[in-house]
Order: sequence, then C-alpha cells, then structure tokens
Amino acid sequence: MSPLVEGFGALLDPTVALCIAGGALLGMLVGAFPGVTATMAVALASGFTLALDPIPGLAVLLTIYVSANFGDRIPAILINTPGTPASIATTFDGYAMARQGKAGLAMTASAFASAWGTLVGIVLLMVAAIPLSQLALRFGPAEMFALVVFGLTMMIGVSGGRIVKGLMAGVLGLLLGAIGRDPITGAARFTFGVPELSEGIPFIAAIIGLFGIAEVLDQILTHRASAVKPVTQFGRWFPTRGDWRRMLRPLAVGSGVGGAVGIVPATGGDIAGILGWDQARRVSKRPEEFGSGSLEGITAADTSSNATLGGSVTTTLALGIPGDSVMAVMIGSMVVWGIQPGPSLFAEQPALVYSIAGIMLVATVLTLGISLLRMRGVAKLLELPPHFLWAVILVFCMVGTYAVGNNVFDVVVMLVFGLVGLFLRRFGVPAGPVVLGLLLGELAEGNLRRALEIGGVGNIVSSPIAMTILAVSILALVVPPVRAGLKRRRASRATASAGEGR
Amino acid sequence: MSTSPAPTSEVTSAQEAARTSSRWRELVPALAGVALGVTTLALSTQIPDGAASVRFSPRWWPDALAFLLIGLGVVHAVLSWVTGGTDEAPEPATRAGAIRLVAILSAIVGYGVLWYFVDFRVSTTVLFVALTYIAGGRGWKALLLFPVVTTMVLYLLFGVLLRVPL
Repeated sequence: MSPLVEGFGALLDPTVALCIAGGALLGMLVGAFPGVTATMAVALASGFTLALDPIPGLAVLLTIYVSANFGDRIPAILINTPGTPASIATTFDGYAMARQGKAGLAMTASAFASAWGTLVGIVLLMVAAIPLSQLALRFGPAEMFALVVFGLTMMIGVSGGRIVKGLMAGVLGLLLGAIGRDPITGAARFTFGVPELSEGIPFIAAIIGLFGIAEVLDQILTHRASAVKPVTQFGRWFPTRGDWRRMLRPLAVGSGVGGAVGIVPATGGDIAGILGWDQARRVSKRPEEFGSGSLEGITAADTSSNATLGGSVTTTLALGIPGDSVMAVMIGSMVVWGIQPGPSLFAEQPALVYSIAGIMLVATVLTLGISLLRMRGVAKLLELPPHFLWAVILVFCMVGTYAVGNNVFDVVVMLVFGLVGLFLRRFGVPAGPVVLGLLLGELAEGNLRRALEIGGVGNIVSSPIAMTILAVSILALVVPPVRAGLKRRRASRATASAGEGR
Repeated sequence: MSTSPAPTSEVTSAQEAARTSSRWRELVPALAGVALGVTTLALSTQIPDGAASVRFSPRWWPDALAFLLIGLGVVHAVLSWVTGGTDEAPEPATRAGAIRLVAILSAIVGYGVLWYFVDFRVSTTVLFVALTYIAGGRGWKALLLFPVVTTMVLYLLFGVLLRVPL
C-alpha cells in the first residue's frame, strides 16, 4: 500500500474524527482566551492524550495547534489583545477595523486568511518533509551537533534584545538535560539517589510547569481589573468581490513569508505575522492604510503567521529540531508514544507524514467552518472573570501531569518548574530556549562527544555542512544586536542633527 | 510662566532612577547563573569518572556548560551595568497579587496532603472552592456550582475515560 493511502486511511477511524472535533473546540477556546497560549494548551492536553494511541493523540494535539491559531484572532480583533503571541500582528489592523464597525468583516477575512495560510503550510509539509529528512539522513554526528546549535541559536536570536539571557536560558536547558544517565557511558549524573531522575527530568512535567503554571502564577501576581470592553458592533461579515480582489496580493505575500519563516527552526507565527504584515505594506498600493484598519494588513498578517505551521511541523519531524515552542512540547509527547522525530522517522514510517498532513487539513476545514459561525457569543466569553480560568488551568495542570505516569514526583517537578518559570518571566529570561535545551541536550552532547571521539575538533571543522550551519547560527546571534545598535546610532545622529538645525 | 525646566529634570531623574533599578534588577539573573554554574561544578565532582577508554568523561559536558553559564552570567552583569540595564520592565506585581500567589501555592500544597487522605472528588472540589475564593470568586455559582461541575468533568475525563487511578 502506498504511504499516501496508508497515511490518509489511518484517519478513517471514528475515534480520530472525535479527537479532531474535540481538539478544534478546545483549540478555539484556548486561543480565544488571552493568556492561554497554544503551547500551554498543547502542554496541558499532553497530560491526557498520552493515554490515547499515537494517531488519535496527535489528532488532538495538532488540531489544538491549528485551531488555537484561528481562535486567537478573536480577542486580537475585539479587545486589541492577542489571544496567543501568533496574533500580535492581527491587532495592528484588526482592532482598528472593529472600532470602525467592521469587526465581522475583520473576523471573516482573518478566518479565510488563516485557513489559506495553514493550507499553504500543509502543502509545504507534504512536499518538503521527506526530501528534507532524506538529506538529513546523510548527516553524521558533527552535522547533527551543528543542527542542534542552529535550532538553539535561532530561538535565542529571535528572543528580542535578550541575547545573553537567551544564551543563559539555553545553557540552563542543556544542563537540565544532563540530569540522568550519561548518553555514552550510562553513568548517573545529578540524580541524588532519586530513582525517577535516572531517566532525566520528565519533559511533560517540566514543560507544563514552564508554560502553564508559570503563566498563571504571573497573571495572578500582576492582575489588574481591565477597563477594555469587547467591541460588540460587528457590521457586515462577508467580503465583497472588491474586498476579495484586495486580499489576493497579501495572501500571496503572507504565504511566501510564512512558509519561509516556518521552515526555520524555532521561529513561530508571531515573527512571521509581523514580517508578513510589513512585507505586504511595502508592496501595497495603499501602504498608508496599514495599521489603521487595512483589510490587506490583517490578511497578510494572518496568512503569514498560519503558513508557519506546516513548516514548523516539517522541521520538527524531518530534522528532530522543534519548529516552534508548540512543536517543542509535542516532541515530548511523541517520544513517549515511541515516535522519535528526526531524519530516520520518515524512512521508517513514511505514512506518518500524510496522516499528520491529513489531520491538519481536516482540522483547518473544520476550524474555518466554526470560525465562520457568527460568534457574537465570543464577545461575552471574553468578559468571563479570570478566577474560573486560573482555577481550571492549575487543577488541569496538576491532574494532567499526574496522569502521565501516575506519579506524584512528576507533579512536584511541574510545580518546581512553574516557580522557575515565574522567576524567568519576572527577570525577562525567555523560557523557550530552556525547553529546547532540555529536549535537545542529549542529542547535542551525544553527537558532539561522538564527533570529538572520532576525529577531534577537525571532524567538525572539516565538514562544510556543519561549518555552514554553525556560521549561520553565529550570524543569527550577532546580526540582530548589531542591527539594533546601528539603528540606535542612526536615530541618535538624526536627533542630534535635528537639534543642530533648530 | 516658565515651567519647562522642572518637568525635564523630573523626567531625567525618573529615567535615571529607572536605569539604576534596572541595573540592580539585571544583576539577579546574572548572579543566579553564576551561582548555578558554581553549584554544578561542585556537584559534578560526585559524578563517576567513567571508563578510561572514553576520552571525554561524563563530567566533561556539565562542566563545560557550567563554565559557559558562569561566563555568560559575568558578561550579562557587566553589560547591563555598563549599558544601564534594559528598557523592558515586566508588568509590576501588586501587593494583592503577591498575597493571592502565596495563598494559592499554600492551597496547592494543602491539596497534596488532603488528596493523600481523602477521595479525589472531595479533595479536588475543596481545592476548586479554595482557588476560586482566593482568586476573587464569590457567590454560589462560583463557589459551589463551578467547583462541583468542573471536578465531575475532571473525574469523568481522567478517572472514567482514561482510567487514571485517582
């Protein structure tokens, strides 16, 4: 049987359909609540999906991933608050449109743009995943080590102006990954006689703590009553023929930008959304409208941020390097199911790529359908007091983590990581690199030591692929602060010359 | 009326105060990194050296990371002190928020103890009541209906459907 037929055939099980439906509703809901990110929702859902078979489990997690990226546009448009970081760029034009009485049009255009972007990403996944994994199969320890460094530096490079803190977070993650058994000799490291630690820090518990508990604790610590009321005047819902024509160019620009950003490890929809919006503004005939309620702006932002999904899944599955933070969480679940993302995955299970693409395709169509229901009720949902949400998330995190291994130790680890995550947040240290370091630590150490054992440093230096990847990694760290410094210098020079001119 | 110098100096002194506060604030993660690195180096001496046939002992990787962490901590401390910290300040915590946080953490610890002695359904309902009350929920819907319904959903999902021994 061909992998395509086998992969899509695996989705005919009614359990999968049920899981996709449940995941879609859950994803839309979590996306619509500001403060509950897709990463957090997938981490939370990992607790109960581990009891399912891999395909139904993946159906829940992937559908949450897809549909949270539709639901998060609702608060971005109605209350100017992104539901998840991926919808930051939606607020640029979405809220302005809503204030002009065009909330319905903004939500419909956003839904179509998001669906189009996701479909572009799915096509990318189906076309690129297997060739990319075949290329990566030729990688030896030196190249694999370079790839891990690349993934880590990309996530750190996009952490804003926090490069050193991002590096510290990455090293902290790698150190946490060193807890347990040494990957070469099997010697116990930092286990302190605790048997549970000999297998290393439990991924799921750590991730739920860092993304779920830490977020809620931070909200509890800083919560103030909000005076922002959701927009309730929706206006017309469907775009006219003229609107559709205006949406074509941003759809194309957003698809290109999002697809390219998605394939880069560790970068997500937040960056792609902003880049797509900016690129669409540059090529628009009406750039002055961007930021003040432009239909083109919201279309480009949402197409671009959603087009990253397929690219992120591709990088995760084909290279074993998480495409974004949601994928970092999902790798944890896949490993528990016995699916080891990486170059050999598609050689061993080629049908899996089509199953995953199929799940994402069904999830996109279903979520688009839900998004097109005129959700006036959602505005009411946004007024729900936070105490319900906090209580549900905290208890679900605890019970879900316990359910992973029926082990109280995991719950304790989760709470400790929740407090660590709160510390990191309060001091502006990004949590993403910690998770990435924790997930990739063994891969990094094992491959580096193997490469050095085989031929010393020369083994890495003599590999053109490894050296190219390492050079790009260094550039990813160095270029953003240098560019920011140059920008600041130019701005201060401009201010000084303006002062002299007066 | 000449009022412009006063606001300018006020703004400047406020900026200076913010920079000083930011400098001290940035020292915390730097010192935490250095402390963690030093602790790792101390603890790694307890790791068995491994077989002599391996060029790189099991200590090599954690030691390398610890040195890297110490180096980065020092670099961060120096950079943030020299450049005046960062403009990005986290959303300030409130006093009420801090009290809520301590109360919620205490409730979670209490839940751990209670769950050990009392049935999951009872202890979880009690936890929901406590969490909702601490977070500001009042009235029978928030303190009775919501905890009971949510506990039932949790029990059905994990206890009945997924057969987790709760």
